[in-house]
Amino acid sequence: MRQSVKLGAIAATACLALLASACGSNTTGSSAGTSNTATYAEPPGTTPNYIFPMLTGAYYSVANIEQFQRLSFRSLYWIGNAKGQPVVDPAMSLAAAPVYSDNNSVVTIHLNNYTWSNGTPVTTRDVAFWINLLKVNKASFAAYIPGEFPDNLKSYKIVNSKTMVLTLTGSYNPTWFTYDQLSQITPLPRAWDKTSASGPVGNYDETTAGAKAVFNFLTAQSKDIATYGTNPLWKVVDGPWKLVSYNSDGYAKFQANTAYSGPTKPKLKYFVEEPFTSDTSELSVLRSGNNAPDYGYLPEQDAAQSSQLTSQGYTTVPWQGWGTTYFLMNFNNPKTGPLIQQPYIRQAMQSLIDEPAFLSGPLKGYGHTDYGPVPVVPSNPYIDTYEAKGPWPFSPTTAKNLLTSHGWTVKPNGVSTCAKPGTGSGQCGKGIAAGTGLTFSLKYGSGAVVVSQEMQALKSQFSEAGIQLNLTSAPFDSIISLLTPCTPSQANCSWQMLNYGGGWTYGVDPYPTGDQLFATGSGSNSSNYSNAEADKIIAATVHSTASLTTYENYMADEIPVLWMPQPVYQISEISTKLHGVLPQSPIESLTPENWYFSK
Amino acid sequence: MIRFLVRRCAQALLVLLLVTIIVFGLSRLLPGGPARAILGVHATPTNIAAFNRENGLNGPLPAQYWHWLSGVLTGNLGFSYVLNQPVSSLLAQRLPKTAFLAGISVVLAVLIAVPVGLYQAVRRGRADDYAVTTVTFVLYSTPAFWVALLLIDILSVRLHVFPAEAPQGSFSTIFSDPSAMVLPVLTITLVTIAAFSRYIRSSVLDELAQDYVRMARSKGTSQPGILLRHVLRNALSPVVTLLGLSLPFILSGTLITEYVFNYPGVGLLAFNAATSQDYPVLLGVVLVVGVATVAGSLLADIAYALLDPRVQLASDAGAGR
Repeated sequence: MRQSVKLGAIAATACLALLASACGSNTTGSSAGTSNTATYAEPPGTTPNYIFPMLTGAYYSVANIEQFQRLSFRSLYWIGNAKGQPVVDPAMSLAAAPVYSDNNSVVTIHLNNYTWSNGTPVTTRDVAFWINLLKVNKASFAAYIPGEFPDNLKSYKIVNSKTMVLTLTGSYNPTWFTYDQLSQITPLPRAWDKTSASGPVGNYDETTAGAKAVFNFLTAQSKDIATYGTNPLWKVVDGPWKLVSYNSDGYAKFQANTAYSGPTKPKLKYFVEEPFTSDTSELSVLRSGNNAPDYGYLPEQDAAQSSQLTSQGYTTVPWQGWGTTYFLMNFNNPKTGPLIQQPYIRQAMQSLIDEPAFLSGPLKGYGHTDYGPVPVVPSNPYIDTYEAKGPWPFSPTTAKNLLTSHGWTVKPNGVSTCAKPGTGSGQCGKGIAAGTGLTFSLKYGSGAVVVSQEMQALKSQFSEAGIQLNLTSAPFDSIISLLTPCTPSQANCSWQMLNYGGGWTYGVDPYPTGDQLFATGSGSNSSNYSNAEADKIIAATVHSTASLTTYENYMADEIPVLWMPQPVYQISEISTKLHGVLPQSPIESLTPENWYFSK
Repeated sequence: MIRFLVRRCAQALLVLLLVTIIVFGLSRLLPGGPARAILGVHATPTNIAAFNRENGLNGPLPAQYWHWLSGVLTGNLGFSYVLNQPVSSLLAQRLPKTAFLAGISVVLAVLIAVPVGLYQAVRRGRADDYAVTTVTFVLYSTPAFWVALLLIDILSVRLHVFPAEAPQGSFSTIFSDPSAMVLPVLTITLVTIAAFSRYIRSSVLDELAQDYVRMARSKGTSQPGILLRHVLRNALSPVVTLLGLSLPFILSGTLITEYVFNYPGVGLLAFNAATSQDYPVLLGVVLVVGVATVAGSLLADIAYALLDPRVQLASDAGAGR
């Protein structure tokens, strides 16, 4: 018995030793942010890892551009104003509003008085540096679209250090050109015009070989992420923040640029981006309050915990991005393509999508209805009430009427069939034989609870008009591998409907013309939609001063894709002590120079 | 001994080669391919072709494998096109973190499991044996994920005793904030104790029935003396083997812990590489873990022989015939 007690004591001592050694420091609930440092939580998979602004597709992300590079390297025109609208903010832009002339084929740009952190002014030569590098290395720049900038730039002329003139290859819509072309320009410091770390600064960018060498050098430097915090290249900034420390897992610490010449000087000394390995870990840290980020997020699956975080000193603020959500119908599928090509069938299907129910259900109220290519939220000057209200809101009756008026025998909870084949009025339409059923296979990305719930509800809603959806789920990567324009005879055109759980974010193209989405043959027109009238309307938004109204309303009627509610980009949790964060940028950029703490 | 080591090393190399071939082949069967996964849903066929060309993914599979293998032979494990870093650099940063977490957790687990197992064996069939058995079974059958969340909820959210996340930044930050390592270490320790203590218990029971124990008792050796000087040494032999072979299990345990406690180690690196189709990282981790597992097995064999003189390494036994 004594021996047993001794052994028990050994075990107990070991346990106590573990705990005792562990209790190095007691902690109390407090925010990570001190009065001079604010911390932002990076959700898993969104850590920054590329610093050179002219980046390839592999690194083209909000995390790298809007939430990392833009802190130090500002774009010519800043999208996102003080009201949180997706429009150019003149105060935050490096240049004054561009002046268009000669039938909108010539653009004059005048730079505001900004300086680099090394004391040299931001000049038109820095803009030319970007253009020169881009012209030679455009295939390596993710935002490059054949036919657009710099292909549509005939020439440029530097008038003086603050003014330059761009001559374009034709007439362009000034708004489109400013928003979707000029806003991509990031002036680069002259200190970067070199081909090796120890080499001199020169005008290498002015020759093809030199521009290639400089680009390769800067790309190589950007691939050496261990040196991000120390490389002198990245210390020359025109933005309000300078990277001082970077860890390979994405932990980034910025120091206020004391030489920042923009309108709002940073009030904080440091800004930290803290990566999280999982939503679970981020939420645990927020709940514990110990070293918690000042600006975190609530995972959508944990939206019910909002009130608990409120008691922890956080304010829940939905962050609505500038984008649209939809899923795809394949217009070129050999079997169902003829059905999809009928606008009335697409309109019937749109009428069967109960967006308000999706919003209050799977999305738990975090999102907004979306019935067309121009988002309703965030508030913007482009949205028209016709599109906002939606020409085809949820109405099973409308769906049934559309089908019956086009020669279909509607069988709720069964399969509606074509009773009147033909191309005349009141008939099913071209390529649809008698007896054809409205049956579609819909493949959606597995893993996202919201998408799964929406698709199950959709199946039920579609059945009200006798449209049968055969749902299958597949890994996200498998779904998106099918997103390539195809012709009916190609093997990869066998998919009928696809939902990868997203849509289009107007990041590269904040003026939402959709020229990359719905124009015939455009690179991202994965559903193979083709409509001569739509092409004409889209071209007008790019090349003339036509407003977006015609385009957006036409597309809301046309239903080239099935519109779905737009979820928020993030459910933000902002410390009640941190101020200046709102409004959150529609293009998801961060401006911690506006932030400050209250006592 | 040397012949044994040479033969085991040759076997290990063959195993590693096969493992990498299998992983390489399986990774290429994943749907979609890395280009689409990385470039996003709106990447054009031209973008995808360019990505595949730049990253050597456009050649035949054997050529791709040979390219990777020849790189490994020259010390180049490849470059992660997802994380924008050399694989060797990633492993150098993450491996010490995981090794520290797993190492300290296993050491603690053994330190606790040995006396617990010993105690249970001595108290076999009594109430306290059953009580400890129940506790260890509960811990053994509880997923590490759940244990971690419970610890966070109680010790971090409610009591504010320990932080809910591991130290952030480089490996050295672990030592500047050791309290932040408590919950991750405790999670792995708790779920590992049970397995070890059960082995110790049954092993001690086997030893207690041996003749040499009766002999020691008859010679008047005290119970603690028998247990600590004679039984424990022999009873530990199977645990050594268990330790050597438990590396993959421990790594999977660290994956969960890394996931929950925001501790970017090698387990999570492998998981993310698999989900993002980051082939170079995936193969790099498989290679390193494979080497560690084979080495662990080899070391266990050697330690087993050193601990138990009755056991001879195969080559020695062969030489003695």
